[in-house]
Amino acid sequence: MRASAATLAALALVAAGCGHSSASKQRTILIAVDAPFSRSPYIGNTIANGGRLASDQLTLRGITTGGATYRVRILQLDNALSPSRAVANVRRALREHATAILTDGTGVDAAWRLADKQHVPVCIAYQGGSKLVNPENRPNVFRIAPTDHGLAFRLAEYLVPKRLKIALLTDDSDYGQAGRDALDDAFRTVPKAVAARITLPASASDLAPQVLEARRSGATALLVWARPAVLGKTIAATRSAGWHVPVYSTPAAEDPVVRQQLADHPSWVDGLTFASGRMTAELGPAPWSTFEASYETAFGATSVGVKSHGRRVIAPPDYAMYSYDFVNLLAAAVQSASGTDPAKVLSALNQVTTRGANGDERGFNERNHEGVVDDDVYFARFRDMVFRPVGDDPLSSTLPEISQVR
Amino acid sequence: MSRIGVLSVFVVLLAAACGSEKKSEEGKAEKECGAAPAAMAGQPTLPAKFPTPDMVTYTAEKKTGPSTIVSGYREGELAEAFDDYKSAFSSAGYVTKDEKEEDDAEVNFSGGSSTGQVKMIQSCKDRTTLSITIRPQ
Amino acid sequence: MSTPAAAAVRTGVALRETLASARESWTDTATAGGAVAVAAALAPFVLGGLIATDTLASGAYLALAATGLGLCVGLAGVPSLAQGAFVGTGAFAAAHVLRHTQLPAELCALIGAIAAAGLGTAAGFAVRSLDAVRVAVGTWLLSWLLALALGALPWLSGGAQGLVVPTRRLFGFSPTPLVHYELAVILTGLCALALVALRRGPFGLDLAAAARHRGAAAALGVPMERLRVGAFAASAFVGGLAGGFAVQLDIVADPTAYGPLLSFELLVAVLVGGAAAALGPSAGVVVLGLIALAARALGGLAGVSGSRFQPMLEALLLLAVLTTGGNAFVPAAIASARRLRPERRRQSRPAGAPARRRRELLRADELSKRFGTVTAVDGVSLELMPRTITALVGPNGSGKTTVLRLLAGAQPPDHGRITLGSHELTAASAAERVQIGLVRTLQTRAYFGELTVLQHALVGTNRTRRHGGAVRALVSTPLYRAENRLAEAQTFAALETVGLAADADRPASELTGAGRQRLMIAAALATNPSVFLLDEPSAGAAPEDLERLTAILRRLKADGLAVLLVEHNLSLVRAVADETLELELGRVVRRETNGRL
Repeated sequence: MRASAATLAALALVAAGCGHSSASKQRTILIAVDAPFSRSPYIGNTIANGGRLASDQLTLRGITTGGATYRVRILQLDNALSPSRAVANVRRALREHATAILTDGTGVDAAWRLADKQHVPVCIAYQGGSKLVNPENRPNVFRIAPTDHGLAFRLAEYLVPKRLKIALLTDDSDYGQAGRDALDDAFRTVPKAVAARITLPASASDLAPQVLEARRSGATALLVWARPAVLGKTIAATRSAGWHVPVYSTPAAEDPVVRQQLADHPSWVDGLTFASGRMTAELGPAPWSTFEASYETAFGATSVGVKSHGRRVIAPPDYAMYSYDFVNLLAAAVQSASGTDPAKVLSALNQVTTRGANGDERGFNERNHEGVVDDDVYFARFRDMVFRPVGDDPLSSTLPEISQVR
Repeated sequence: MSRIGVLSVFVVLLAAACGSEKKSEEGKAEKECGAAPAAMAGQPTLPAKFPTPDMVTYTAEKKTGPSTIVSGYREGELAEAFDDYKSAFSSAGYVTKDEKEEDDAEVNFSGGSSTGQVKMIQSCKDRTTLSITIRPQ
Repeated sequence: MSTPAAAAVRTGVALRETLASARESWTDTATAGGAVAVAAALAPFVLGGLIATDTLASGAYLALAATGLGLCVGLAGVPSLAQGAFVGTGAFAAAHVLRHTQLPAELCALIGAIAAAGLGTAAGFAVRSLDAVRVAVGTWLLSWLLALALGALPWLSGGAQGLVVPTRRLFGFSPTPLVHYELAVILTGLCALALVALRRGPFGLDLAAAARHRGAAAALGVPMERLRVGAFAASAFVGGLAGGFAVQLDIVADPTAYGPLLSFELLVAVLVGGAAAALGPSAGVVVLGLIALAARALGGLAGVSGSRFQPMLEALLLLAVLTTGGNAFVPAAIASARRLRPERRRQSRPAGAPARRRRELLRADELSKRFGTVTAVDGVSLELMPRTITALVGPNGSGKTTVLRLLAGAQPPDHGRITLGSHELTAASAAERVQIGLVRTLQTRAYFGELTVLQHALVGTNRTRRHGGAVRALVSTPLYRAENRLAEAQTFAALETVGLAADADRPASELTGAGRQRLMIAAALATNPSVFLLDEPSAGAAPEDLERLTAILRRLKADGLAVLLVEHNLSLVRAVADETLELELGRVVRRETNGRL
């Protein structure tokens, strides 16, 4: 009995020692998610959830390199759309030795330099402004999201051949103003296609005057680049005036807010066409479906708050895909760098590639830090509160329909 | 019929089916090319110093809004076309980002006064179809 | 002795006097303040593991801005909700200068402060004569205006990404968060000391008087509007300085950071911590920091961002402090400490002979005043001679008080002329008349809140000072200190005349009604007048108070003053007046001399 007890005790000690020694080799890859959780919860949570899904999967699998096993942890920091808070969040992330920073783009102009001093990469997963990413001057800033340039040009390529007279409506937010600049570039060589350029005051409760101005300009189509709430108000003003002009927009149209605002008039949403990053790729819909299923298992389907033929409409996690892909890219970079040495990880990030959530290859190089190319922008049109790829665009017509009802 | 016989037939049928799938998969790459499309009259409107690797023939040019889409083909395999374009863009000082699958590849470029993409598809055994989208910067 | 040597000797004497003065006036509160300053300076080394240094530095700049707001709210009693706008003005002005010039960082911050002071001056000018509610609303609108301008003008604000600010060495040091923190602590400490110096000096006493009772302060010639503009400008300067340095810590001028919410938070900090205490605003900022922690905890429980709860908790705290009638934190702490260990009282009366103005004749010719269709004063002429008491009597509505108000400058006459010696007073303001030597007391028993009896009377003395400006008070020049001693001597003399010298250090609020009436007379006497106008000083007085009042009036006459007494109490009039004028329907209907001329 005593011998057994002693043996057991010895074994327990050995096991504890083994456990301790293996735990000492487990390290953490910390990714700080700096996003507007309080001011734009849909954007913030989408970015964070995509990152979290990837981090959970990677931790489960374990990243083993350089004699150590790594787990991935997400640190959520709210920037409330404030650049100074974003700077404070980046400072905190650096203090906690974050391996990378995922952001919606707020405050990048000020904060990137702080991260660059410590060779920490910053990845933008939402905003598409062209000035935010510049590999030469900002070597640590990356983006996996459709760019404003890509969206604007694809919209122009799609709309101009239809021989429409397009009224460009942009709101006075920074999103709208950046969009106006991108649209000005895209339509610069086709000025005759533009019937009017109108600014929508985001704080106005009624946009009827602006819609009337567009109508009087002879426009036969509206291209609205504005935040979701303003887009909703524009559609409401257009349709309630009895003007059934086709309305085109950006990924803001996917935001649940638009359909919630127009829930009492579902027919007003019909025909709304928007540009966004493709969810499926050349490999087919299977990779995307797998990702979507994992996402919904982890976080539940994001309910839009409306119904289509009596069934609940959900928002597919397309933007979550971008943060998910970045976390996987980062893990590949850590593996390639044999550890989390910041300078090595940053350098490796310019070399590695991974298979993205939708099957597309994702990667950067020293001279290109954009993860989504312009030609991956597709078009979708709403009907009955769900959207489907359009049939009159070469890329979009090849894409499958993604189920959005549960 | 004996069990062995049934099994044999089954195996043969199975092999035939697999063989035919593989054949269809390899169909594009193995398919003999028909007559080459006619080259377009004149040269397409390409940006200055836009690289044109050897054995590239342009067949059409279309204006799509602000952008230009130039169609063409290159004699040879997809992989060669892909490598040629990558090195040609690199030599011409363009910034590129590329992706290659089994039957298609893209080289996204940025430089000079334009951005865009060269999309390559192995359309038949010795011909790679090209679709070049050029967007003014 | 050569001039440089003489200057050195004078400097040495001045330094010794300064040190002696500082030792004499050193209190337990000052010791506590010093301890707080040392603790604040050491905070990053103690709290570094718990709170990030950049967070501490941001909080310290907030404390600086709040201390600046204390100048307005605490000294001037003006509830300004524009401090956030001034901080923002300083921040963006400094940011633009940093981006477009190579000027040193500290100079850029100073330029930001000057820009904010300019805006503060304009704002102060706009609200100079408004009541507290209108000031609050007007300044709140200014905060909104700046926030909207920043949102609407991307060239000014840098758009959603803000205006990125280049980093530059700060006073020769690398601009780390620690350097910013210590700088902010030093500036806040200096600002708190300035608050103390100003509060004790003429500037602070005048502002306190104007804040507590405008009418009484106006009667003593306090230039209220000018002071209010000055308080706004000073408050804005400090706020702009905080903004100008804080933006360099943040490395970005953020258009979303300087809106009405910041103004609200700063006001909450001042009111919760104590507007009147030098370190009160800083204590309020610490409380706000604790609220932020509580909000974060609540947010964690609710699964949302803590910033959603913060403004609500701040508002609840402010309501609790205001509605329970409790003291703010620092004044409550000081009051508790004083109950345990009362601060020493003044031991002796300051030496010095009070100044005495030349006695002159006041003449009023054919004064008339109409209010609509009512003729309040109709062709009243009178002379007030030195060493005489003239009484003005008559029924209610006879025009007595109107005559007094015309003479004092509270109302302009429709017709007529007023002179004092060779001075033409007809168009002069009340403040100018006090400067020239004509002062009045109010009918009501007004007093200036929690000021002591001495401080109350000193408000009057301020009118006679030539070296009592705010800058001299801050620096405590030898001339300022010398004048202080004379002013106190003069004030004591006035208090002795009314029998309140022994109560010099008591709060005026502890005096009886009659005592406050005498205090008003003392304050008016402290302006060193040659003509004294009293409006019903015996109203509500008990018999023993009347006796004391009679004695005071006789002393005023013995001092050579010309006294005009508006009274209903005819026995008092008979006891003291040399001439009595009876008014009826705005006209003098009877003149009587009492044989004492």
